Amino acid sequence: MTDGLHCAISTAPLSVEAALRFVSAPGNGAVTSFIGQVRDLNQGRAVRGVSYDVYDALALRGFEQLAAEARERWGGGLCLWLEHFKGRLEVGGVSIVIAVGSPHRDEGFQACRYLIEEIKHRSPIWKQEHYHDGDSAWVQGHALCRH
Amino acid sequence: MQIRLAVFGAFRGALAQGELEFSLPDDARVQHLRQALKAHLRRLHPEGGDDALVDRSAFADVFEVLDEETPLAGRQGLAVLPPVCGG
Repeated sequence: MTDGLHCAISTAPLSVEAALRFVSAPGNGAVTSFIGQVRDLNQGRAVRGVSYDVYDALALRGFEQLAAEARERWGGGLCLWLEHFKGRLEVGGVSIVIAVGSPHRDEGFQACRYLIEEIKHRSPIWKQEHYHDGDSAWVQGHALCRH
Repeated sequence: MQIRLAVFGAFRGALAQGELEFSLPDDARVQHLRQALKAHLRRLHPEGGDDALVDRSAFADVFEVLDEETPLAGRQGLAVLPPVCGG
């Protein structure tokens, strides 16, 4: 955690409050957040829980790279919190917390949206859904390429 | 040289131990590791079905995703990464 940037992969429950505190600052008139939660239905199947698998070291480097990209586009002073869960969550569990502290709301909304979309496409993270019928399946995702 | 390859996501079903070891020539590149992984999975599952997943997967070390021509020698934390879906 340095210079208004926090990137982590956590096996402990994620804290939204900690994220909002971290990105708050006297110069930040806006705090924007995205909170991902486990949904109870996917493609018609009743979901009981999701297991998240992560290549930690590469994912963290990717988070830092995305943070640098966000700051380049929307301002070097953005305060950023990117944390993803690793392990199993039941329905309603929080899988990811992204928070952006910024002087104004526009760059906060844009940076927050950018970060979640890029994480979904570029971070080495996988999810395995567990269904009420006892079956489990890895969710189809996006093929990685070099950036 | 001996190459240790970590596996994630959908590969964990077929390779529950989470890591594989391959013996490859010293000048082997990512494309050779991809072929070795396919051959290994075919031996495990002769009925097939894993080639498409290997084709859609990337290979990486601890720093970055690698292209097919990248030499493997000296790379740390090699891993095969199936299509991703975080968040």
